[in-house]
Amino acid sequence: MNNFLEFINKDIEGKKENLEAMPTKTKTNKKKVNETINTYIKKYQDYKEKTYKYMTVKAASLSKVESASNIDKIKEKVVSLEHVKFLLNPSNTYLEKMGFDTLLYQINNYYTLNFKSLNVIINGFLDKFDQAGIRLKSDDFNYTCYVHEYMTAFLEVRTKKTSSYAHVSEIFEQIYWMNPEIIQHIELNFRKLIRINQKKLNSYIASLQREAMSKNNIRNYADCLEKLQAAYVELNMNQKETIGDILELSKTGAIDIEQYLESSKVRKQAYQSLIADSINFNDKDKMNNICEALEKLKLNINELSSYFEFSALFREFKNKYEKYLGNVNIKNNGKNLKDIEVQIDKKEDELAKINKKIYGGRPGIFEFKSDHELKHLKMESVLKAKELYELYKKYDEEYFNFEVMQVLSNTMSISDLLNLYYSFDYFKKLELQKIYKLTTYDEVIEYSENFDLFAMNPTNVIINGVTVFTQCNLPRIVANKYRLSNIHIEEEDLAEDNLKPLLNKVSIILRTHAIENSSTSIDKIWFVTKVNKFKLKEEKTNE
Amino acid sequence: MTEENKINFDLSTLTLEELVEVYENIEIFLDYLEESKIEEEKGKEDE
Repeated sequence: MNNFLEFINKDIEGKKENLEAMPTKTKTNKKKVNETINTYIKKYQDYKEKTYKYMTVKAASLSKVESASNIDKIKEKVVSLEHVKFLLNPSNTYLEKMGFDTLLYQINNYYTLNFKSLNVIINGFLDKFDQAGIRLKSDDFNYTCYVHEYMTAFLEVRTKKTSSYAHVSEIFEQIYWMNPEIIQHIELNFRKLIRINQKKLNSYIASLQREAMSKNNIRNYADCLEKLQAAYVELNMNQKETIGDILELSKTGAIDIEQYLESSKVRKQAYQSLIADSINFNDKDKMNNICEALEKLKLNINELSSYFEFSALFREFKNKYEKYLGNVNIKNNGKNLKDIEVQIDKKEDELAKINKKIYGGRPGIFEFKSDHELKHLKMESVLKAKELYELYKKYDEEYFNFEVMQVLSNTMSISDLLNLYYSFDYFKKLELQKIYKLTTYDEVIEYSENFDLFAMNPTNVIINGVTVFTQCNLPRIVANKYRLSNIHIEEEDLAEDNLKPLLNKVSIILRTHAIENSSTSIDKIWFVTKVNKFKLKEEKTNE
Repeated sequence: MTEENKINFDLSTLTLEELVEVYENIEIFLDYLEESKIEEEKGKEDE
Protein backbone atom coordinates (compact mmCIF):
# COMPACT_ATOMS: atom_id res chain seq x y z
CA MET A 1 0.00 0.00 0.00
CA ASN A 2 1.72 3.09 -1.18
CA ASN A 3 -0.25 6.03 -0.12
CA PHE A 4 -2.98 7.38 2.06
CA LEU A 5 -5.63 7.27 -0.67
CA GLU A 6 -5.09 3.55 -1.19
CA PHE A 7 -5.08 3.04 2.54
CA ILE A 8 -8.36 4.77 3.27
CA ASN A 9 -10.12 3.19 0.29
CA LYS A 10 -9.14 -0.26 1.56
CA ASP A 11 -9.82 0.70 5.16
CA ILE A 12 -13.29 2.07 4.37
CA GLU A 13 -14.15 -1.08 2.48
CA GLY A 14 -13.03 -3.24 5.40
CA LYS A 15 -14.87 -1.17 7.98
CA LYS A 16 -18.08 -1.30 5.94
CA GLU A 17 -17.80 -5.10 5.67
CA ASN A 18 -17.17 -5.33 9.39
CA LEU A 19 -20.24 -3.24 10.21
CA GLU A 20 -22.44 -5.23 7.86
CA ALA A 21 -21.31 -8.48 9.51
CA MET A 22 -22.14 -7.32 13.03
CA PRO A 23 -25.34 -8.71 14.58
CA THR A 24 -28.07 -6.15 15.28
CA LYS A 25 -30.86 -8.18 16.87
CA THR A 26 -30.50 -7.32 20.51
CA LYS A 27 -30.00 -4.12 22.41
CA THR A 28 -26.46 -5.17 23.25
CA ASN A 29 -25.77 -5.91 19.57
CA LYS A 30 -27.01 -2.48 18.61
CA LYS A 31 -25.03 -0.81 21.35
CA LYS A 32 -21.92 -2.55 20.11
CA VAL A 33 -22.61 -1.48 16.51
CA ASN A 34 -23.06 2.13 17.56
CA GLU A 35 -19.93 2.06 19.70
CA THR A 36 -17.97 0.72 16.74
CA ILE A 37 -19.45 3.41 14.46
CA ASN A 38 -18.48 6.10 16.96
CA THR A 39 -14.92 4.80 17.08
CA TYR A 40 -14.77 4.94 13.26
CA ILE A 41 -16.26 8.43 13.23
CA LYS A 42 -13.67 9.66 15.71
CA LYS A 43 -10.87 8.21 13.63
CA TYR A 44 -12.19 9.56 10.34
CA GLN A 45 -12.95 12.98 11.78
CA ASP A 46 -9.31 13.09 12.70
CA TYR A 47 -8.27 12.09 9.17
CA LYS A 48 -10.62 14.67 7.76
CA GLU A 49 -9.25 17.48 9.92
CA LYS A 50 -5.65 16.62 9.10
CA THR A 51 -6.35 16.36 5.38
CA TYR A 52 -8.37 19.58 5.44
CA LYS A 53 -5.60 21.44 7.24
CA TYR A 54 -3.00 20.18 4.78
CA MET A 55 -5.15 21.06 1.76
CA THR A 56 -5.92 24.61 2.93
CA VAL A 57 -2.22 25.34 3.51
CA LYS A 58 -1.42 23.89 0.08
CA ALA A 59 -4.25 25.85 -1.59
CA ALA A 60 -3.07 29.08 0.05
CA SER A 61 0.44 28.59 -1.34
CA LEU A 62 -0.98 27.84 -4.82
CA SER A 63 -3.18 30.95 -4.69
CA LYS A 64 -0.16 33.20 -4.76
CA VAL A 65 -0.37 34.13 -8.43
CA GLU A 66 0.10 37.41 -10.24
CA SER A 67 -2.68 39.83 -9.43
CA ALA A 68 -4.10 42.77 -11.35
CA SER A 69 -1.86 45.78 -11.66
CA ASN A 70 -2.95 48.98 -10.01
CA ILE A 71 -5.11 50.50 -12.69
CA ASP A 72 -6.97 52.96 -10.49
CA LYS A 73 -4.87 55.87 -11.74
CA ILE A 74 -5.50 55.02 -15.39
CA LYS A 75 -9.20 54.66 -14.67
CA GLU A 76 -9.23 58.07 -12.98
CA LYS A 77 -7.54 59.54 -16.05
CA VAL A 78 -10.17 58.02 -18.36
CA VAL A 79 -13.03 59.28 -16.19
CA SER A 80 -11.51 62.74 -16.10
CA LEU A 81 -11.05 62.85 -19.89
CA GLU A 82 -14.57 61.48 -20.43
CA HIS A 83 -15.81 64.41 -18.35
CA VAL A 84 -13.88 66.88 -20.53
CA LYS A 85 -15.27 65.18 -23.64
CA PHE A 86 -18.78 65.49 -22.22
CA LEU A 87 -18.30 69.19 -21.53
CA LEU A 88 -16.75 69.90 -24.94
CA ASN A 89 -19.14 67.73 -26.97
CA PRO A 90 -19.97 69.97 -29.96
CA SER A 91 -23.19 68.05 -30.69
CA ASN A 92 -25.22 69.34 -27.75
CA THR A 93 -25.87 72.49 -25.72
CA TYR A 94 -25.75 73.84 -22.18
CA LEU A 95 -29.08 72.06 -21.52
CA GLU A 96 -27.50 68.62 -21.90
CA LYS A 97 -24.13 69.60 -20.45
CA MET A 98 -25.83 70.87 -17.28
CA GLY A 99 -27.79 67.59 -17.08
CA PHE A 100 -31.10 69.46 -17.19
CA ASP A 101 -32.32 67.09 -19.91
CA THR A 102 -32.00 64.14 -17.50
CA LEU A 103 -34.08 65.97 -14.86
CA LEU A 104 -36.63 67.04 -17.47
CA TYR A 105 -36.97 63.41 -18.51
CA GLN A 106 -37.55 62.44 -14.88
CA ILE A 107 -40.17 65.08 -14.14
CA ASN A 108 -41.81 64.49 -17.52
CA ASN A 109 -42.19 60.79 -16.68
CA TYR A 110 -42.97 61.25 -13.00
CA TYR A 111 -46.23 59.31 -13.17
CA THR A 112 -45.43 56.99 -16.10
CA LEU A 113 -42.36 55.55 -14.39
CA ASN A 114 -43.63 55.76 -10.80
CA PHE A 115 -40.92 57.98 -9.39
CA LYS A 116 -40.79 57.84 -5.61
CA SER A 117 -39.94 61.43 -4.86
CA LEU A 118 -40.76 64.68 -6.61
CA ASN A 119 -38.65 66.51 -4.02
CA VAL A 120 -35.48 64.82 -5.21
CA ILE A 121 -36.12 65.90 -8.81
CA ILE A 122 -36.98 69.50 -7.85
CA ASN A 123 -33.93 69.73 -5.60
CA GLY A 124 -31.90 68.38 -8.53
CA PHE A 125 -33.02 71.33 -10.67
CA LEU A 126 -32.43 73.87 -7.89
CA ASP A 127 -28.95 72.43 -7.16
CA LYS A 128 -27.95 72.87 -10.79
CA PHE A 129 -29.06 76.49 -10.80
CA ASP A 130 -27.19 77.01 -7.52
CA GLN A 131 -24.02 75.53 -9.06
CA ALA A 132 -24.26 78.07 -11.85
CA GLY A 133 -24.64 80.87 -9.28
CA ILE A 134 -28.36 81.35 -9.94
CA ARG A 135 -30.20 81.37 -6.62
CA LEU A 136 -33.87 80.94 -7.50
CA LYS A 137 -36.49 82.62 -5.33
CA SER A 138 -40.19 81.94 -4.92
CA ASP A 139 -41.03 84.81 -7.29
CA ASP A 140 -39.17 82.97 -10.07
CA PHE A 141 -41.85 80.31 -9.86
CA ASN A 142 -44.76 82.28 -11.21
CA TYR A 143 -45.84 80.06 -14.09
CA THR A 144 -49.22 79.61 -12.41
CA CYS A 145 -50.45 80.61 -8.98
CA TYR A 146 -50.38 76.93 -8.01
CA VAL A 147 -46.73 76.55 -8.90
CA HIS A 148 -46.00 79.71 -6.93
CA GLU A 149 -47.79 78.44 -3.85
CA TYR A 150 -46.13 75.05 -3.98
CA MET A 151 -42.63 76.29 -4.72
CA THR A 152 -42.82 78.98 -2.03
CA ALA A 153 -43.44 76.27 0.55
CA PHE A 154 -40.77 74.06 -1.04
CA LEU A 155 -38.09 76.77 -0.99
CA GLU A 156 -38.85 77.60 2.65
CA VAL A 157 -38.09 74.00 3.65
CA ARG A 158 -35.03 73.90 1.39
CA THR A 159 -33.64 77.11 2.90
CA LYS A 160 -34.09 75.75 6.42
CA LYS A 161 -32.15 72.65 5.29
CA THR A 162 -34.52 70.34 7.15
CA SER A 163 -35.37 67.00 5.71
CA SER A 164 -39.07 67.18 6.54
CA TYR A 165 -41.15 67.95 3.51
CA ALA A 166 -44.41 66.92 5.26
CA HIS A 167 -45.90 70.44 5.03
CA VAL A 168 -44.94 70.66 1.35
CA SER A 169 -46.69 67.34 0.72
CA GLU A 170 -49.85 68.66 2.37
CA ILE A 171 -49.81 71.71 0.12
CA PHE A 172 -49.23 69.50 -2.90
CA GLU A 173 -52.27 67.44 -2.02
CA GLN A 174 -54.47 70.53 -1.62
CA ILE A 175 -53.31 71.93 -4.97
CA TYR A 176 -53.57 68.59 -6.73
CA TRP A 177 -57.34 68.42 -6.33
CA MET A 178 -57.70 71.88 -7.84
CA ASN A 179 -55.03 71.41 -10.48
CA PRO A 180 -53.96 67.82 -11.21
CA GLU A 181 -51.44 69.08 -13.76
CA ILE A 182 -49.31 70.81 -11.14
CA ILE A 183 -46.22 68.67 -11.93
CA GLN A 184 -46.42 69.57 -15.62
CA HIS A 185 -46.58 73.24 -14.63
CA ILE A 186 -43.55 72.92 -12.38
CA GLU A 187 -41.75 71.34 -15.34
CA LEU A 188 -42.80 74.23 -17.61
CA ASN A 189 -41.60 76.73 -15.03
CA PHE A 190 -38.19 75.09 -14.94
CA ARG A 191 -38.08 74.93 -18.74
CA LYS A 192 -38.77 78.67 -18.84
CA LEU A 193 -36.13 79.37 -16.19
CA ILE A 194 -33.60 77.31 -18.13
CA ARG A 195 -34.39 79.31 -21.28
CA ILE A 196 -34.28 82.76 -19.74
CA ASN A 197 -31.04 81.97 -17.89
CA GLN A 198 -29.39 80.61 -21.02
CA LYS A 199 -26.66 83.26 -21.01
CA LYS A 200 -25.62 82.67 -17.40
CA LEU A 201 -25.75 78.91 -17.81
CA ASN A 202 -23.66 79.05 -20.97
CA SER A 203 -21.12 81.18 -19.23
CA TYR A 204 -21.00 78.69 -16.33
CA ILE A 205 -20.43 75.83 -18.78
CA ALA A 206 -17.68 77.85 -20.48
CA SER A 207 -15.95 78.29 -17.10
CA LEU A 208 -16.23 74.55 -16.44
CA GLN A 209 -14.79 73.81 -19.88
CA ARG A 210 -11.84 76.14 -19.30
CA GLU A 211 -11.15 74.65 -15.90
CA ALA A 212 -11.39 71.04 -17.14
CA MET A 213 -9.22 71.75 -20.21
CA SER A 214 -6.53 73.45 -18.17
CA LYS A 215 -6.56 70.69 -15.51
CA ASN A 216 -6.20 67.98 -18.15
CA ASN A 217 -3.94 69.91 -20.47
CA ILE A 218 -6.42 69.76 -23.35
CA ARG A 219 -6.35 72.24 -26.23
CA ASN A 220 -9.64 71.42 -27.92
CA TYR A 221 -12.22 68.67 -28.54
CA ALA A 222 -10.06 66.86 -31.13
CA ASP A 223 -7.12 66.91 -28.73
CA CYS A 224 -9.39 65.51 -26.00
CA LEU A 225 -10.54 62.63 -28.24
CA GLU A 226 -6.94 61.81 -29.09
CA LYS A 227 -5.83 61.77 -25.45
CA LEU A 228 -8.90 59.76 -24.45
CA GLN A 229 -8.17 57.14 -27.09
CA ALA A 230 -4.59 56.83 -25.81
CA ALA A 231 -5.86 56.50 -22.23
CA TYR A 232 -8.27 53.77 -23.29
CA VAL A 233 -5.48 51.84 -25.01
CA GLU A 234 -3.45 52.05 -21.80
CA LEU A 235 -6.50 50.97 -19.77
CA ASN A 236 -7.22 48.01 -22.01
CA MET A 237 -3.66 46.81 -21.79
CA ASN A 238 -3.69 46.99 -18.00
CA GLN A 239 -7.19 45.68 -17.67
CA LYS A 240 -6.45 42.39 -19.41
CA GLU A 241 -7.64 39.41 -17.41
CA THR A 242 -4.87 38.11 -15.16
CA ILE A 243 -4.31 34.65 -13.71
CA GLY A 244 -5.46 36.11 -10.39
CA ASP A 245 -8.73 37.15 -12.05
CA ILE A 246 -9.21 33.67 -13.54
CA LEU A 247 -8.55 32.09 -10.15
CA GLU A 248 -11.13 34.37 -8.55
CA LEU A 249 -13.69 33.63 -11.30
CA SER A 250 -13.17 29.94 -10.66
CA LYS A 251 -13.40 30.24 -6.87
CA THR A 252 -16.62 32.24 -7.05
CA GLY A 253 -18.13 29.80 -9.55
CA ALA A 254 -18.36 32.39 -12.34
CA ILE A 255 -16.49 29.91 -14.54
CA ASP A 256 -16.48 26.13 -14.37
CA ILE A 257 -12.78 25.25 -14.22
CA GLU A 258 -13.57 21.59 -14.94
CA GLN A 259 -14.35 22.69 -18.51
CA TYR A 260 -10.72 23.85 -18.80
CA LEU A 261 -9.14 20.53 -17.81
CA GLU A 262 -7.34 18.71 -20.60
CA SER A 263 -9.79 15.82 -20.37
CA SER A 264 -12.82 18.10 -20.74
CA LYS A 265 -15.01 17.55 -23.81
CA VAL A 266 -16.04 21.23 -23.71
CA ARG A 267 -12.41 22.30 -23.99
CA LYS A 268 -11.65 19.84 -26.78
CA GLN A 269 -14.71 20.96 -28.68
CA ALA A 270 -13.75 24.64 -28.28
CA TYR A 271 -10.28 24.02 -29.76
CA GLN A 272 -11.45 21.72 -32.53
CA SER A 273 -14.36 23.87 -33.67
CA LEU A 274 -12.59 27.23 -33.64
CA ILE A 275 -9.03 26.53 -34.68
CA ALA A 276 -8.15 25.32 -38.17
CA ASP A 277 -7.10 21.63 -38.45
CA SER A 278 -3.72 22.61 -39.83
CA ILE A 279 -2.71 24.25 -36.53
CA ASN A 280 -0.76 22.20 -34.01
CA PHE A 281 -2.04 23.23 -30.56
CA ASN A 282 1.41 22.63 -29.10
CA ASP A 283 3.07 25.06 -31.50
CA LYS A 284 3.63 28.01 -29.16
CA ASP A 285 4.21 30.66 -31.84
CA LYS A 286 1.17 29.65 -33.86
CA MET A 287 -1.00 29.50 -30.75
CA ASN A 288 0.24 32.97 -29.74
CA ASN A 289 -0.95 34.29 -33.11
CA ILE A 290 -4.26 32.49 -32.82
CA CYS A 291 -4.82 33.91 -29.34
CA GLU A 292 -3.96 37.40 -30.50
CA ALA A 293 -6.70 37.08 -33.13
CA LEU A 294 -9.09 35.55 -30.59
CA GLU A 295 -8.58 38.54 -28.26
CA LYS A 296 -9.83 40.74 -31.11
CA LEU A 297 -12.67 38.35 -31.87
CA LYS A 298 -13.74 38.54 -28.23
CA LEU A 299 -14.07 42.34 -28.51
CA ASN A 300 -15.94 41.94 -31.79
CA ILE A 301 -18.38 39.50 -30.19
CA ASN A 302 -19.10 41.97 -27.39
CA GLU A 303 -19.56 44.74 -29.95
CA LEU A 304 -21.93 42.58 -32.01
CA SER A 305 -23.85 41.66 -28.88
CA SER A 306 -24.39 45.38 -28.07
CA TYR A 307 -25.30 46.02 -31.71
CA PHE A 308 -28.02 43.34 -31.55
CA GLU A 309 -29.22 44.66 -28.19
CA PHE A 310 -29.98 48.06 -29.72
CA SER A 311 -30.80 47.02 -33.29
CA ALA A 312 -34.50 47.79 -32.71
CA LEU A 313 -33.54 51.41 -32.01
CA PHE A 314 -31.42 51.57 -35.19
CA ARG A 315 -34.32 50.14 -37.23
CA GLU A 316 -36.75 52.63 -35.74
CA PHE A 317 -34.44 55.52 -36.59
CA LYS A 318 -34.00 54.21 -40.13
CA ASN A 319 -37.76 53.90 -40.63
CA LYS A 320 -38.38 57.37 -39.28
CA TYR A 321 -35.68 59.33 -41.09
CA GLU A 322 -34.99 57.43 -44.32
CA LYS A 323 -37.56 59.54 -46.13
CA TYR A 324 -35.59 62.71 -45.36
CA LEU A 325 -32.44 61.49 -47.09
CA GLY A 326 -31.57 63.79 -49.95
CA ASN A 327 -34.26 66.15 -48.71
CA VAL A 328 -32.57 67.63 -45.69
CA ASN A 329 -33.51 71.25 -45.37
CA ILE A 330 -31.58 72.35 -42.33
CA LYS A 331 -32.51 76.00 -42.68
CA ASN A 332 -36.21 75.21 -42.73
CA ASN A 333 -35.85 73.01 -39.68
CA GLY A 334 -34.13 75.83 -37.88
CA LYS A 335 -37.01 78.07 -38.85
CA ASN A 336 -39.59 75.62 -37.48
CA LEU A 337 -37.78 75.64 -34.17
CA LYS A 338 -37.64 79.43 -34.08
CA ASP A 339 -41.36 79.62 -34.94
CA ILE A 340 -42.28 77.43 -32.00
CA GLU A 341 -40.03 79.48 -29.72
CA VAL A 342 -41.87 82.65 -30.81
CA GLN A 343 -45.21 80.97 -30.11
CA ILE A 344 -43.99 79.89 -26.68
CA ASP A 345 -42.81 83.42 -25.87
CA LYS A 346 -46.15 84.85 -26.98
CA LYS A 347 -48.21 82.41 -24.94
CA GLU A 348 -45.98 82.79 -21.89
CA ASP A 349 -46.53 86.57 -22.10
CA GLU A 350 -50.27 85.98 -22.20
CA LEU A 351 -50.00 83.66 -19.23
CA ALA A 352 -47.93 86.24 -17.34
CA LYS A 353 -50.67 88.81 -17.90
CA ILE A 354 -53.31 86.47 -16.46
CA ASN A 355 -51.04 85.70 -13.52
CA LYS A 356 -50.49 89.41 -12.90
CA LYS A 357 -54.21 89.82 -12.51
CA ILE A 358 -54.35 86.86 -10.12
CA TYR A 359 -51.36 87.92 -8.01
CA GLY A 360 -52.32 91.59 -8.02
CA GLY A 361 -55.95 90.85 -7.30
CA ARG A 362 -56.08 90.70 -3.57
CA PRO A 363 -54.78 92.93 -2.09
CA GLY A 364 -53.73 94.91 -5.13
CA ILE A 365 -54.45 97.62 -7.55
CA PHE A 366 -58.02 96.59 -8.03
CA GLU A 367 -60.49 94.43 -6.19
CA PHE A 368 -62.12 91.43 -7.79
CA LYS A 369 -65.83 91.69 -8.10
CA SER A 370 -66.16 88.17 -6.82
CA ASP A 371 -64.34 84.93 -6.03
CA HIS A 372 -65.95 83.69 -9.19
CA GLU A 373 -63.79 86.07 -11.24
CA LEU A 374 -60.62 84.87 -9.48
CA LYS A 375 -61.60 81.27 -10.05
CA HIS A 376 -62.17 82.03 -13.71
CA LEU A 377 -58.72 83.61 -14.04
CA LYS A 378 -57.09 80.62 -12.39
CA MET A 379 -58.87 78.28 -14.79
CA GLU A 380 -57.76 80.43 -17.68
CA SER A 381 -54.13 80.24 -16.53
CA VAL A 382 -54.33 76.46 -16.26
CA LEU A 383 -55.74 76.22 -19.80
CA LYS A 384 -52.97 78.47 -21.12
CA ALA A 385 -50.37 76.31 -19.37
CA LYS A 386 -51.90 73.26 -21.01
CA GLU A 387 -51.46 74.86 -24.45
CA LEU A 388 -47.88 75.69 -23.53
CA TYR A 389 -47.22 72.13 -22.44
CA GLU A 390 -48.28 70.92 -25.89
CA LEU A 391 -46.10 73.58 -27.52
CA TYR A 392 -43.07 72.49 -25.49
CA LYS A 393 -43.70 68.92 -26.58
CA LYS A 394 -43.71 70.08 -30.18
CA TYR A 395 -40.58 72.09 -29.46
CA ASP A 396 -38.81 68.99 -28.12
CA GLU A 397 -39.70 67.04 -31.24
CA GLU A 398 -38.47 69.83 -33.52
CA TYR A 399 -35.36 70.32 -31.39
CA PHE A 400 -34.29 66.70 -31.84
CA ASN A 401 -35.32 66.66 -35.50
CA PHE A 402 -33.15 69.68 -36.06
CA GLU A 403 -30.19 67.93 -34.42
CA VAL A 404 -30.84 64.82 -36.52
CA MET A 405 -30.87 66.88 -39.71
CA GLN A 406 -27.40 68.22 -38.85
CA VAL A 407 -25.91 64.73 -39.12
CA LEU A 408 -28.37 62.94 -41.40
CA SER A 409 -26.90 61.55 -44.61
CA ASN A 410 -26.86 58.27 -46.46
CA THR A 411 -23.34 57.69 -45.14
CA MET A 412 -24.40 58.13 -41.51
CA SER A 413 -22.81 55.26 -39.55
CA ILE A 414 -24.13 53.35 -36.54
CA SER A 415 -21.33 55.02 -34.64
CA ASP A 416 -22.69 58.49 -35.62
CA LEU A 417 -26.14 57.42 -34.51
CA LEU A 418 -24.81 56.21 -31.15
CA ASN A 419 -23.07 59.53 -30.67
CA LEU A 420 -26.26 61.41 -31.51
CA TYR A 421 -28.35 59.66 -28.88
CA TYR A 422 -25.45 59.69 -26.42
CA SER A 423 -25.37 63.49 -26.75
CA PHE A 424 -29.10 63.84 -26.06
CA ASP A 425 -29.94 61.87 -22.94
CA TYR A 426 -33.57 63.05 -22.85
CA PHE A 427 -34.35 61.76 -26.34
CA LYS A 428 -32.28 58.63 -25.90
CA LYS A 429 -34.26 57.65 -22.79
CA LEU A 430 -37.59 58.49 -24.42
CA GLU A 431 -36.73 56.34 -27.42
CA LEU A 432 -35.48 53.41 -25.31
CA GLN A 433 -38.58 53.63 -23.12
CA LYS A 434 -40.84 53.55 -26.17
CA ILE A 435 -39.06 50.85 -28.20
CA TYR A 436 -38.34 48.43 -25.36
CA LYS A 437 -41.65 49.15 -23.59
CA LEU A 438 -39.90 50.00 -20.32
CA THR A 439 -42.14 50.66 -17.35
CA THR A 440 -39.77 51.58 -14.52
CA TYR A 441 -37.01 54.15 -14.23
CA ASP A 442 -34.58 51.45 -13.12
CA GLU A 443 -35.13 49.66 -16.43
CA VAL A 444 -34.64 52.91 -18.33
CA ILE A 445 -31.40 53.56 -16.45
CA GLU A 446 -30.16 50.03 -17.15
CA TYR A 447 -30.79 50.33 -20.89
CA SER A 448 -29.47 53.87 -20.99
CA GLU A 449 -26.23 52.95 -19.20
CA ASN A 450 -25.68 49.95 -21.48
CA PHE A 451 -26.29 52.21 -24.44
CA ASP A 452 -23.79 54.80 -23.20
CA LEU A 453 -21.17 52.12 -22.55
CA PHE A 454 -21.66 50.88 -26.09
CA ALA A 455 -21.53 54.40 -27.52
CA MET A 456 -18.35 55.24 -25.60
CA ASN A 457 -16.60 51.91 -26.14
CA PRO A 458 -13.24 52.72 -27.75
CA THR A 459 -12.82 49.16 -29.02
CA ASN A 460 -15.78 49.46 -31.40
CA VAL A 461 -14.60 48.83 -34.94
CA ILE A 462 -17.43 47.10 -36.79
CA ILE A 463 -20.06 49.80 -36.32
CA ASN A 464 -17.74 52.55 -37.50
CA GLY A 465 -18.04 51.30 -41.06
CA VAL A 466 -21.66 50.19 -41.01
CA THR A 467 -24.20 52.68 -42.28
CA VAL A 468 -27.64 53.13 -40.78
CA PHE A 469 -29.50 53.13 -44.09
CA THR A 470 -27.79 50.24 -45.90
CA GLN A 471 -28.51 46.55 -45.34
CA CYS A 472 -25.42 44.83 -44.04
CA ASN A 473 -24.66 41.26 -42.99
CA LEU A 474 -22.37 41.87 -40.00
CA PRO A 475 -21.92 38.18 -39.03
CA ARG A 476 -20.70 37.41 -42.56
CA ILE A 477 -18.20 40.29 -42.52
CA VAL A 478 -16.80 39.22 -39.14
CA ALA A 479 -16.67 35.50 -40.01
CA ASN A 480 -14.81 36.18 -43.28
CA LYS A 481 -12.30 38.39 -41.53
CA TYR A 482 -11.28 35.65 -39.08
CA ARG A 483 -10.96 32.91 -41.69
CA LEU A 484 -7.82 34.74 -42.75
CA SER A 485 -6.43 34.19 -39.24
CA ASN A 486 -7.03 30.39 -39.19
CA ILE A 487 -10.11 30.77 -37.02
CA HIS A 488 -13.21 28.88 -38.06
CA ILE A 489 -16.44 30.69 -37.48
CA GLU A 490 -19.60 30.45 -39.49
CA GLU A 491 -22.16 33.18 -39.98
CA GLU A 492 -24.62 31.36 -37.72
CA ASP A 493 -22.06 31.27 -34.88
CA LEU A 494 -22.34 35.05 -34.87
CA ALA A 495 -26.13 35.13 -34.81
CA GLU A 496 -27.56 36.92 -31.77
CA ASP A 497 -28.52 33.77 -29.85
CA ASN A 498 -25.20 32.03 -30.54
CA LEU A 499 -22.86 34.78 -29.34
CA LYS A 500 -22.78 33.63 -25.72
CA PRO A 501 -21.67 30.04 -26.49
CA LEU A 502 -19.14 31.38 -28.97
CA LEU A 503 -17.75 33.78 -26.38
CA ASN A 504 -17.49 30.88 -23.94
CA LYS A 505 -15.43 28.86 -26.43
CA VAL A 506 -13.13 31.82 -27.14
CA SER A 507 -12.70 32.46 -23.42
CA ILE A 508 -11.83 28.81 -22.75
CA ILE A 509 -9.04 28.90 -25.34
CA LEU A 510 -7.73 32.30 -24.21
CA ARG A 511 -7.75 31.43 -20.51
CA THR A 512 -6.22 28.00 -21.10
CA HIS A 513 -3.45 29.64 -23.14
CA ALA A 514 -2.88 32.26 -20.45
CA ILE A 515 -2.74 29.65 -17.67
CA GLU A 516 -0.43 27.35 -19.61
CA ASN A 517 1.96 30.24 -20.16
CA SER A 518 2.03 31.20 -16.50
CA SER A 519 3.61 29.83 -13.33
CA THR A 520 0.40 28.05 -12.37
CA SER A 521 -1.64 25.30 -14.02
CA ILE A 522 -5.28 24.39 -14.60
CA ASP A 523 -4.93 21.50 -12.12
CA LYS A 524 -3.73 23.90 -9.44
CA ILE A 525 -6.63 26.31 -10.06
CA TRP A 526 -9.02 23.35 -10.00
CA PHE A 527 -7.54 22.24 -6.65
CA VAL A 528 -7.75 25.72 -5.09
CA THR A 529 -11.38 25.94 -6.25
CA LYS A 530 -12.22 22.57 -4.75
CA VAL A 531 -10.59 23.44 -1.42
CA ASN A 532 -12.48 26.73 -1.40
CA LYS A 533 -15.74 24.81 -1.80
CA PHE A 534 -14.80 22.51 1.09
CA LYS A 535 -13.96 25.56 3.16
CA LEU A 536 -17.31 27.20 2.45
CA LYS A 537 -19.10 23.96 3.33
CA GLU A 538 -17.18 23.71 6.60
CA GLU A 539 -17.97 27.31 7.49
CA LYS A 540 -21.65 26.71 6.78
CA THR A 541 -21.68 23.57 8.96
CA ASN A 542 -20.02 25.42 11.82
CA GLU A 543 -22.47 28.33 11.72
CA MET B 1 1.27 -1.24 9.81
CA THR B 2 -0.62 -0.21 12.92
CA GLU B 3 -3.60 2.14 12.91
CA GLU B 4 -1.49 4.80 14.64
CA ASN B 5 1.18 4.66 11.97
CA LYS B 6 -1.27 4.79 9.11
CA ILE B 7 -2.45 8.26 10.02
CA ASN B 8 1.05 9.52 9.62
CA PHE B 9 1.05 8.87 5.91
CA ASP B 10 2.80 11.64 4.07
CA LEU B 11 0.06 13.62 2.35
CA SER B 12 2.63 15.46 0.28
CA THR B 13 3.14 12.31 -1.80
CA LEU B 14 -0.41 12.59 -3.12
CA THR B 15 -1.29 14.43 -6.29
CA LEU B 16 -3.76 17.31 -6.05
CA GLU B 17 -6.46 15.11 -7.55
CA GLU B 18 -5.73 12.32 -5.04
CA LEU B 19 -5.88 14.75 -2.14
CA VAL B 20 -9.33 15.89 -3.19
CA GLU B 21 -10.37 12.27 -3.64
CA VAL B 22 -9.15 11.40 -0.12
CA TYR B 23 -11.13 14.25 1.38
CA GLU B 24 -14.27 13.45 -0.59
CA ASN B 25 -14.08 9.74 0.28
CA ILE B 26 -13.67 10.56 3.96
CA GLU B 27 -16.72 12.85 3.82
CA ILE B 28 -18.80 10.18 2.08
CA PHE B 29 -17.75 7.57 4.62
CA LEU B 30 -18.57 9.87 7.54
CA ASP B 31 -22.04 10.45 6.08
CA TYR B 32 -22.43 6.67 5.68
CA LEU B 33 -21.44 6.12 9.29
CA GLU B 34 -23.94 8.69 10.58
CA GLU B 35 -26.70 7.05 8.55
CA SER B 36 -25.71 3.59 9.80
CA LYS B 37 -26.34 4.35 13.47
CA ILE B 38 -29.14 2.29 14.97
CA GLU B 39 -31.83 3.41 17.41
CA GLU B 40 -31.12 1.24 20.43
CA GLU B 41 -34.38 1.35 22.46
CA LYS B 42 -36.45 -0.32 19.72
CA GLY B 43 -34.47 -3.57 19.79
CA LYS B 44 -35.39 -6.85 21.51
CA GLU B 45 -34.34 -7.44 25.14
CA ASP B 46 -31.19 -9.52 25.56
CA GLU B 47 -31.94 -13.23 25.75
